[in-house]
Amino acid sequence: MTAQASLSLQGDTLIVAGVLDHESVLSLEAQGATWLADTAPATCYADLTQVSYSSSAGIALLLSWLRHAQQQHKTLRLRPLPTKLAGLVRLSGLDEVFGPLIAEAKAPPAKA
Amino acid sequence: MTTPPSADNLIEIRNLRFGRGERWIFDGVDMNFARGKITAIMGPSGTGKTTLLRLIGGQLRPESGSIALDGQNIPQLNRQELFAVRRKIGMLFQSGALFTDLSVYGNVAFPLRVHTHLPERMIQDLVLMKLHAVGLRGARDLMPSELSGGMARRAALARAIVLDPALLMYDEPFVGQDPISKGMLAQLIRLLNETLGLTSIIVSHDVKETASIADYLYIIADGKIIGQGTPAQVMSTEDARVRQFIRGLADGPVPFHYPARSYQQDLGLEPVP
Repeated sequence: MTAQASLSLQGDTLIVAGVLDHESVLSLEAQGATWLADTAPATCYADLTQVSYSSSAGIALLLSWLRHAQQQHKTLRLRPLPTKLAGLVRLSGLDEVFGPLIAEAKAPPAKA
Repeated sequence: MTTPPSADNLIEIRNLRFGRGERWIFDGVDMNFARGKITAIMGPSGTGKTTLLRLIGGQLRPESGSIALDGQNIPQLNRQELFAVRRKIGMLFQSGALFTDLSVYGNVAFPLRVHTHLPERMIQDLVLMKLHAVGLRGARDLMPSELSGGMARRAALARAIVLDPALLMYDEPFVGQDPISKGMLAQLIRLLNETLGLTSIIVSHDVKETASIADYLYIIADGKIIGQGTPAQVMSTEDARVRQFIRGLADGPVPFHYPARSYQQDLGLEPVP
């Protein structure tokens, strides 16, 4: 069974949605790497608030994107992580890696 | 009356009967394993605790009854369906069962190499994450023969969780561990359960450590459940058989002596009138 996951772009932010597991991260990893190498600005963001479930593979996906970003001399920052992912980060002792990269949540568009 | 199924339970066992020879190991047993909780199966040696794990994993089939895991009745699954279900299950064997010719790293990476198509770099990330969680990131290049008993058990635990199972089954995790290792392992089991949202089953006869981390206990003996409840409920039970087990008394309703003919007969003596 292939898990449902998707990427979409919103300006300088890569929106990740759906289920991140050992299968779904494979294509996401390649798509994100292409964006980081091509059109991503020097400081860019990954937003995971629409991730409905993530296994540890979701953390491996982020680590892979961080390496791609560093190779391109770009900074990939992360919007606040969902609770489950934050727990996995803590358990894996990766606070020191992810902590400095966590950006504030994007403010919702102002009402007209 | 049979208890109706509930979405709160990952596993529901109903009217389970399994025997060996003329002896029933389980004789009409009902059990629930709540999602996200630690449930312990306790009881004297030889009461079928490990057998129960093998029945849940589908390595054994019961004579009758159902074992529903996420709604799928394990004894009725074909080989392919069983293989798919087993990907949801992690198992920590009593022996650790590490591959002796692979390093700690190789052992933990093994399930990822067999069951996923992840590139080696992502496999490395996942292995390091799991080894860090059990405190062994620095021991990744050691061979199993170079590990202490406690370290080997933790390395096996890292391997058991590397595929992010929904269910983790521990077979006597505390056997052969010194008090420090026992305490460390118990804390780790609790932490993993809470952080990963696992459902855990612990088979053990180590009352103190198991009761300290379990949410619910079943005590089994003679093919039946003789006690169940939260650790506090089980510890305060009035049932003589449960109290004998909990307090570690040599004799009681579960007799010290295996049934035998009279001592005089064995010694060739006439019974004393």
